[in-house]
Amino acid sequence: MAKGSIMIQIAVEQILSPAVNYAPEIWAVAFESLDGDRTTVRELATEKNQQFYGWSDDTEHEFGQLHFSHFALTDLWLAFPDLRRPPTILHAPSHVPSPPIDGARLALLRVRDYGFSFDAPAKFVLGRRVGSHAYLDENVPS
Amino acid sequence: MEIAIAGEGELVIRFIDSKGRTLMQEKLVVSGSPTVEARRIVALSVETSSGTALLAPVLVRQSNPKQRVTFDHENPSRFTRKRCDEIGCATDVATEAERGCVPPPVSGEASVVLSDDPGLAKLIQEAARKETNRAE
Repeated sequence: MAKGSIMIQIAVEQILSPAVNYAPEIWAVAFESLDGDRTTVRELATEKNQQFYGWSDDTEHEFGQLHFSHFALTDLWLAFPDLRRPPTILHAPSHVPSPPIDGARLALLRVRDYGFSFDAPAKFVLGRRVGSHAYLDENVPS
Repeated sequence: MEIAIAGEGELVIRFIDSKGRTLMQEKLVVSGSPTVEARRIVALSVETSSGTALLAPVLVRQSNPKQRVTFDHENPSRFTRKRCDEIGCATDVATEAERGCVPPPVSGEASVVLSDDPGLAKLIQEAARKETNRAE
């Protein structure tokens, strides 16, 4: 029996103390089982906001040019019980329905954002939040 | 370490060093159906200006008591206690951590500040009380 409309959302908010000079990668997944009928992904999107401040204890060293993306990486994997069949991987953002995909048994939403580090005497504080959502429909093929 | 989540909700995890200082905090929010699951893999160490710091994860808040959470397939408080002992936390730090009681992230010359939603629980309680009174 098809599952109908499905929502999957995941968000990670990370705050680091200034004692830390390594920001771990954001890597998280949320997943939902499917019944193996016909799946259409209606929307796939991601959001990110971030605060970063860097400085050096040593006046002779300065931070180089920094650029942080305002986007995180999100994709949705549709996996099949036959492991010889490769998963279908869809990338965010997408706001139009995907082509119908038959037979998927698992919908897996993955969100990622880069990890990074700075050597002393550089210091930084970081707060970031990344979130992703997917809306899909699973129906019995007519 | 693998954080496994079954069911919807928001949880807050603080990562403490052997002195009980919170060096990192993560909030994980999962939404969907009651059967939604999630995984987050995170290293239990970070680099600091004074070298590598080993960390113990502490589950400090969970919005949905029905949501099931494990750290490396173990009950979170049991895992926290074990990890605190491994990294050399003092007994009082480990005991408090096991109960989910650790301070917010350490601030210093600069810090990121979030409200941690102090008013939200109160707002929900007040709304629920009004609804109960109306029903009676």
